[in-house]
Formats: sequence, C-alpha cells, structure tokens
Amino acid sequence: MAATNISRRGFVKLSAFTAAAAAMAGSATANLMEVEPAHAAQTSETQKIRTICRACLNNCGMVAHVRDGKVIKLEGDPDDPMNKGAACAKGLAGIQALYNPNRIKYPMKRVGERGSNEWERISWDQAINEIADVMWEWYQKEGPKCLVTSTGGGGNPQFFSPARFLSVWGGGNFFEPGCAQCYLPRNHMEFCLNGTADTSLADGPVTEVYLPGILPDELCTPTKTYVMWGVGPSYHGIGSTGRVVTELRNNGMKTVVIDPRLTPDAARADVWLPIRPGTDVALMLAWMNYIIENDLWAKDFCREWTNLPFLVHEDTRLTYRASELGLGSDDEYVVWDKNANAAVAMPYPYPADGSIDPEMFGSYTLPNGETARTAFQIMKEHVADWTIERAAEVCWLDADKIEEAINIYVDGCPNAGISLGVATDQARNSAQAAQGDAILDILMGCIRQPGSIVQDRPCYVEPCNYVVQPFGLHHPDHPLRMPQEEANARLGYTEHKGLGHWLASHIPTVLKAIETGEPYRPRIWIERSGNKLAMIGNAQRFYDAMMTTELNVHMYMHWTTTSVCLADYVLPTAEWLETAYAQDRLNTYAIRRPCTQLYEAVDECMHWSWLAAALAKRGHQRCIDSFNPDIAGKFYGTYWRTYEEYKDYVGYFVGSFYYGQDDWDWATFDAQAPSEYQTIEEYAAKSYNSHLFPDEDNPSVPAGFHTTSRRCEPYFDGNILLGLTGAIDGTGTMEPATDVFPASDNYNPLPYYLEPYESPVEGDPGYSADYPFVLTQGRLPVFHHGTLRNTPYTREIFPYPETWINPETAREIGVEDGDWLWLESRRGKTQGRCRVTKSVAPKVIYQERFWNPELLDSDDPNRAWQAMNINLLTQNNDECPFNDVYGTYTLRGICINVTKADSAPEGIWIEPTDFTPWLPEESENTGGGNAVYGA
Amino acid sequence: MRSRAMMRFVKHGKACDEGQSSCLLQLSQEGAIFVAIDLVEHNPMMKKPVAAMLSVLVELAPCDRRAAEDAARETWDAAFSYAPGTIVDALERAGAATEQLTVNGEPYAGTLEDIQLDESVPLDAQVEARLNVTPDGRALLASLDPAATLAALLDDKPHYAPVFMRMLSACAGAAAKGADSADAHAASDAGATRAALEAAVETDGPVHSPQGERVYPQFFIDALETAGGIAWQGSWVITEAGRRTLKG
Repeated sequence: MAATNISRRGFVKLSAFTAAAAAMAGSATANLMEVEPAHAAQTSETQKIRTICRACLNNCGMVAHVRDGKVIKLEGDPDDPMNKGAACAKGLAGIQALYNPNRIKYPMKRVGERGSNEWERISWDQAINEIADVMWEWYQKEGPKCLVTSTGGGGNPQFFSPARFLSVWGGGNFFEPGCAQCYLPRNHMEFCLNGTADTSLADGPVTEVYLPGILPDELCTPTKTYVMWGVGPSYHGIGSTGRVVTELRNNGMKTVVIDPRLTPDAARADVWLPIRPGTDVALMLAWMNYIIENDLWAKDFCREWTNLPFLVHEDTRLTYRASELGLGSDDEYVVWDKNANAAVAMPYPYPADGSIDPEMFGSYTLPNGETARTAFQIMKEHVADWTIERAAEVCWLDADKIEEAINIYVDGCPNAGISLGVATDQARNSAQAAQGDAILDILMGCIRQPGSIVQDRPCYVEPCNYVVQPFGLHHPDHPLRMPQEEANARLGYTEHKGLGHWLASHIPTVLKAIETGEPYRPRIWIERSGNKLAMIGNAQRFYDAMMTTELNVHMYMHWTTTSVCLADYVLPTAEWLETAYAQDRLNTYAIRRPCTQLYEAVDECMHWSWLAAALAKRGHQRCIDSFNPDIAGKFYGTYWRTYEEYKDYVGYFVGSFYYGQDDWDWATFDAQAPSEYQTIEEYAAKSYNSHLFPDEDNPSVPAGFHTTSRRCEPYFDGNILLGLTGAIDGTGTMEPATDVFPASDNYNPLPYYLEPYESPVEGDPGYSADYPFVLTQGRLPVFHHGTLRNTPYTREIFPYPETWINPETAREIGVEDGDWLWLESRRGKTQGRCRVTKSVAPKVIYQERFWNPELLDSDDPNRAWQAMNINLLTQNNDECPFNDVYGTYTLRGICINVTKADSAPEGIWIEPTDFTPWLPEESENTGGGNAVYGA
Repeated sequence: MRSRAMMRFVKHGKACDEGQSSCLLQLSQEGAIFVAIDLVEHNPMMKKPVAAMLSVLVELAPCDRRAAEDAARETWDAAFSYAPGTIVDALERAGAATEQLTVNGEPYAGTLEDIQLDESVPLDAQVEARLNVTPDGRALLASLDPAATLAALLDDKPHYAPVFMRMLSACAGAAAKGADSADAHAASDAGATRAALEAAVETDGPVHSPQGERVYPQFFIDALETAGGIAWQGSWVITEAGRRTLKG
C-alpha cells in the first residue's frame, strides 16, 4: 500500500528508547537500510483519532492518522498523562501488524491432517455452527469439563473473555502461560500482605511515579529510591514506564536494579546486582535480616499497622485470637504488653492513648501455659542465617554491593519502594519472592506514603482494567457464576489454590489430564492468543498433548504456530487498531476507538458471544440466560449479539463505575473521552495514608488495610488458611472464599528459599556437569511476548534471538561473537546466535523467547516453533517441583549446555530484504466480521 | 504421544490372530505403524471416518478409487466432517493406503496432472486410480477394533473394572445398582443419560485413583467411549463390543 509515511530508519528513530536500548546492546540497527519514505495519498482529509495502544500492557495514548479509511501513521498522544507523546517500536508497528499479509482474514477450516497447513475459507455462520455442534455434543456427552480455554498477554486480548465464557458454559478449565509464571504471584500475594496493591510497574498499579510534573509541586513528593527487582522498564514498556523512570532518574531518583542482565536501566542504576537466576528469595531474606539486625525498620508503622507484634501459636502457626485465650473477642489479636507485662488483647485500631505498648520481639508464656513468640521474633529467627555474605555466595554477588544497595533503599524510605518484575514469577520460589518484596516495603513503612511505590488507587483492586469480566466475579450469588463444584474441580486447583485468584487452572495438570485422561480429559481447546508453543514451558510436551484433543479452535490476528500446527478452525481476530475498549490512565479515562475494521476480523468478545448464542440455540440454558439482562445483570452486561451492543456496554461500564453516570453508552463515552474522572489532586490524596481515613461503614475507626486484621500482615498466616480452605486471601473477604475446599499442603506464612531444582552449583543435588550453565530470559524492546516476529521493521531490528554469553564463558565453550549455537537442556535443544558480552555474568546465559513465522510455509511448519525456541528447554513437568501456592513451573534458572553449531537454522530470515513479503498490503475498511455476521 | 490403549495393543497384539500379532510386533519395533496411528491420535475427528474407509478398502481393495469412495459414501455418517476423498488422501500420506495410477491397465509413474500433460498417453486411454491397503493400514484398522481396545482398557485398569461394568449395565438398560436418583434410573433400552452414567460411576461415592486422587465420572465415560464400549446417540448406548464384555 502507498499509505504509510514512515521510513524504516524513521521507524527506529521515532522509538528513542528502543534505539537507546539497541545501542546499549550493540544491536542490529546497523542492518537498517536507507529507503525512501512512502508518501501518503493526497486525496482526502487526514483524520486524527485519539486512541490507546495495546501492543503491550502499557496502553499508551496514541494518535492514529486515518485517511481514506486507512491508518497511515501512528504517534504517541502528547496529552496522555502517562506516555506524554512517547511511543515505542511495538506501538508504532501497529500499522504493520494491522495490514500484515499474514493476517487471518476469514474463518478457516482445516481440510488436511493437523499440521498439514491446508485450509478452506468458510463463512462465519458455518464456523460458529460447526464449532458449536462439536461443543454441544461433548457438553451433552461429558459435561462442561470437556472444555479448556486459554489466552495470553500478547496480541490485544480481552483477558477475562475465556473465563467469562467458562462461567456461562458452566465449568471447564482456563489457563494462560503467564498467570502462575507472570504476575499472579505478585498480584495476589503482595496484596494479601500489604492490603493495598502489588508492585508491578508493567501491569499498572505503580502510579506514583507518574505524578511528578502532573501533581502540583507543593503536593508532590517524588520517589527518592526505586528498587527495580527484575524490572526493565526501558525494555518492557518504553512509552510509559520506560519514559517515566528515565525522567525520574534524570531528576535525581536513586535506583537499584537487580537483574542478571545489564539492561539500560541497570546500566544507569546507582547499584546493579547481577543476581544468579532463580536465587532472588535468598537475597530478599538477607535484606530482611540486615534491616532487622541493624534496627532499620519503621518502628511506629510496624508496631501500629502490622501484625508483627502479634503472638503466634507454635503448632498451628496461626496468630492467636484473643478469644482463644479468654482475653477478648474473635476479631482481636494477642500481644505481649510491656506495661502490663502480660498477654493482652490488641484491639482495632491501635490504642492512641498508649495504654498498650506491645513487645515486638520475644517469647512469652501465655495464661494457658503455652509459650508463644511474636510474629516478628519468628521472622527474625527465620532469616537469621541469611547474612549478606551467605546471600553473596548463593546469588553470585559482591557482598559490599548488596549492603550498598540496601542502604540506598533504606535511605529513601518511606518515599521509596521495590517493584518486583516477572523474573521471580518464573521459578519455583514465585510466591516467596512476592512475600519477600511485600515484607521489605512493609518493614520500611513504604506503604501509601507520598513517593512510595505501593499505593491504594483504584487501578487493579477494582475491575477497571478489564471491562469484560467473568460473570459473578465479584458476586458469589450470581446465577451465571461457575458452579462451586465445577470451580473446585479445576485441574491443579486443589494443589495450588492461589490459582483461584485468577480463576485459572494449572497448565502441567491440564496437560497431564489430556495425556492420561485422569482425573478427567479435556477434549476441546479454544485458544485466544498467538503462540503457545513459543510461550509455554516445555513446548514439545504441550504440542504432543494438544495434538490429541478432539477439537482445537484458534482465535488470533495472524497465522502462527498454533493455527498452522495445531488448529482445526481459525477465527480472524481484530488488531488493537480495530477494536473498542476503555482504560484508566491515572485520573483520566481513555478510549480505544476502532480506526478501521478489515476483512472479516472481529474483537474476541464477539467470538465468545457468537458461540454462546449458537449454544443457546441448541438449548444450553446458561447460554440462553447469558443474553437475558434480568439474569446476566447490567454490571457484567449480557453477551452481545452485535459489536454495537458491546460498545454500548463499555460506555455504560465506564460511565457507571468511574463517572457515576448510569446512562452512558458508547456515544456518550466517545464524545468526551479521554477525560478526567477526578482531579489529579484527588487522585493522589485518596491514597496517601488512606488507612487513617474514616472507615466507610464505621467512621469512628480508621479504614485500615484490606486484610483480615486491617493491618499489614508481613507474617501471612492467611497463607495457611488459603491452603486449607481456598479462602483466597485467607480471610474470606475476597473471592472465591465461600467454602472449605480440599486441603492442600500448608503454605508457609514466611518466605523461604529453595535452590533451583536444576542447579549450576557444583555439589548441589541438582547439579549436572552435562548442563553447567544457567539460563535466564527477559524482555526485548521490540516484542511483547510472542508478538511482532512477523512485522518487518521490528523483525529487522531483532532478526534472531541473541544468546548472551560472558567473555569468560565464551572462551570456556570456545565460541565467538556471531557464532551460531546449540542450547540444550534435559528436555530438548534449540539454536541462538552468540553475543559475547559482559552484560551477563560468567556461566549465566540469556536468550529470549522466539519463533520464526517464515518457516510456517516450509515443508515442516513445526520448525517455526522448534528452530530457535527457548521453551524447548524449559520445564513444566512433574519432575521439577512446582511452587506450592501457584503451581509455578520453571522458565528461568534452568541448567543448559551450549555448543557451537555448524550453521544457522535452515530457512530462517535474517537480512532486511528477507522481510519484504511482510510489508503492509492494501486493505479496505470492510467493517470486519461484524458487517457479515450477527448472532 | 500415543494413546495407552493403542500402545498396549501394538505391543501385545491383542485380539489379533497370531500372524497379525507378529506383524504388529514387527511393525512396532520398526516404528512404521506409529505413522498410521498418529493419523488418528493427532486427528481425533478423523478416527471414525478413517475406520469406515479402511473397512471399505479391506473389503474391496485393490479397487478403483472412485468405487471405494462411492462405497464409503453409502455408509458415511452425516456427522463425519471429512469427505471420503479427504480420508483416502490422509491414509495415503500416513502410509495406510497406496494409490497406483494405471493407463490402460498398465502402471503409470506420475500424477493425474502428469497424465494430462503427457502427450504419449492417448486421449482415449483408460486411466484408473487403484487403491490398496498396506499392512500398516490393516494394523491401524485392527487397532481401532473395539474388542481389542476395550479388553486393553479393562486389563490396564483392573481397579476400575467394577465401575466400567456398572456403566455398561446402565447403558444396556439396567439401572445402576444402588443409585437412588431419578437420573440414575433414567437408563433404558434407549441408553443412559450423562447424569445416569455419572450416578453409576459414583454409586459408592466419589472414585479415587490408587494414589488417592479424585477421578471424575468424565474420565470413565471418556475412557469407555474411546475404547468402544459405549457410543453416543443422543444418549449413551452400549455397543456390541460392550455388550460382549458385559456378558463376560
């Protein structure tokens, strides 16, 4: 098409952070060839549409230039409060993704064997009805457990759509390759402990960093110290998070970066700790020990607003309730009062008159003769062995640097905080890392303070990030909520109850069920993301299992390994530039406006709606009910027969939830968005010390924190209750938390360190001389998860996965920069290309996920996920223990061997001109699938 | 990955005569049969049409392709989502069937497209595509025989045998013994509802594996259908193989 007015070189220049990051790595920008920019047609007016990106989680404000119905240019929205006009390579690649020749344009049905890549175009009517026929038959034959749905973080997902469908379907399983391996441990566990929010910079809750420059200076306390633990904003979210962290750092914010890689943020940090992959919790325990031993913790906050002074039952490990000892009521706890030198009930709130002065440490004899320690004493003893020196040895770090990092953090507190990134979610210590992170900020009182990372703001606690939600998510009595007995039967849920927070199932247990049939066999897989085979650990196992299911349906925008190698039907799905959505941006609400709609693609919410409608026609009662507003309810909306109905629901949702207006539809929202739903001053003030605000139900007491005790709970005995009962936060106040479920192992109230199952440490039981190196992964600035390997400019920047190897290790292996390599683990082997760099420590190997779309059309399409896929090496099998709470399998910190390969994988594209076939193709605004089909 | 029932079948050559068994063992050692087995393992929706087409070919082959497809079409289930020709192509790719073009009865080394362009072939020549079944194809058909797969299932899961027998009973028309619910008694000669089968499975309460893990009724329904003991016809009915198993 002759419509994009951006050159390849200009594309990279526009993404300043990308360029910086690429320069840092000495990357492949030198490959960029100078070309003349294509000029837009001059036939009509250019319309500038304010919208929001979905190339990654940052949802940056964008301005789409549309002419003759075609999107011809994208740029960052200068008025967006978070990205302020910045845009990254991923966002700018939106046009190439939109008009990509590899779009799935129409519903397609496989005509040959699975993997034969032989297809016929069919109508939406045929596709929906044939799929519904199979689903309805299996539903009648075996019930709702026959269905498994999935999604992923990349590729414009309506994240909770599959779970919403399952709630209507009445059972079954939902999984996502992130989840237990990405964000769930932090999203759930950190909230449980601090009763406020998690600390993920990428996912949205860390809003405080955006306030300087927006909030009036006299009201603003910029963050003094920011610890980015496995967080690389200059890679993961360049437009918003990368931009703002750079700005704060330039204005004097001190930073500590803990990351095996020298990322751009690590390079500019006051201290970079290149930690051995998989050992983060060991380091956290040492930080805790150092802070306790050196008496650095926040005295008033910990005494008055945490459960650290509470006495703990030595057998049950639960904090005592005053009623157990005849000292008070069920909702009071027990402390050892210095004044009375006795155990007394601790009421809520902490007595302001000083009538109780609790001991923070020590062991005491209770009135019933039992001996009990304070929670803080238990924590102190628990971490006592974790000296700086021991952590340095375990984590392959310099002890002095660790101490320097802790002190930089402590100096900034309480106007400081730690953000924990995805890295720790990808190993067996996932829950413990989230505990450790939360504990450190609690110990230092960095909760709800100006400048602190943990803030009590609406984003994320309330359902604002997702306008499409599972029925009954917040309403246990909703008639379309998944029945409890089916929810309890989700695969792997009994063992890993933390999964319940996202209504998810355990991927290895799902695979095992498909392989063995026990405890029941999922038969139908409906998948809504790009490349499970490139994103899920142990890809070969996943492939083997999913080749045996009865029906595989793939909803996506582009042909990928899932569609070509596994699917029976593929359903064309809309790119972000084609969809309608809403997203809060600090104190404003932004809108994603459909700029065009191509071929017969539709937003995924319509896929699920149309399937529900087809099942309703066949007699599925819950599906019938999902279209009944009296049953489905206005908050969740009914399922939608047309996209206009869906859009009106989005308008209603935003209006009612944020603006207090119950009569909004899409037109109302569209007419004013983006706009402020509150002032920035209100937005900021609603969090600072909000635990001191009057309680909404009982204004005579402060609101406190969102926990059982209404205090922060760094000693999280709720973890025990979670395992025993399924109460999602151990309290019964979050969903689902209504019943006693089968007991799991007792999850631990305090974080503990497990050496990676495969260890690079000689002498460890997990060590093997055959696999002497430790592998880590990590974000790239031009891709989000499995996306954008088929857009020419991004792929030109990063044509193949780089294997980062320290010079010392490279010499040991006998490889040089540019060599092609074999990487091999106990599970498989794959390739990468050597980059010799001091950006990783000796024995640490870095390579990011990859797949090769150009091989889909080869004689063996499976090579598209096999040639250079690091997930052929990773784990998701029973031989490696999972995290107890979440079932996390191990993606980072596995052991591998590296050898020199004779050549690159055959048929892969590397040269800039190779990607020419993927340049945008002329495509008209057809109205998408909504123009040709309606339920 | 291959189903346990098929693996066992291939390994033990169950329900085959001695010659077939030896053939299967030899094939399994060579791995050739696995290509054919993968066809149905990786394409479960092809399983029934593959069995139907192989049955036709075993009866008619060697035969003209069109005749085979016509014969298959007469028994073709409307629920099959593949045309007979598609299945023949798949069988050939899997090595379960072969196709030989002949021109005036003589083998022709080329494709139909080649013949059309081949000026040495007279315009009035008789062209025929003759199908045959390979040993792999015969082994594959044998592996799909419910008598074999059902026996293999019961041999492999003896601890679940009482459950399977209760289900077969329920589908055969006898209500699940000890099940009190109305659903459980809904079983009739017309078959059993899913609820009736679930009740039959859990007559004595939830079933647990030898390792103590809950095993849901869907496992048993799925296993029994896959093995060919029961079939779905709007309700669950017992198959002839299932009836023979029930009679012992």
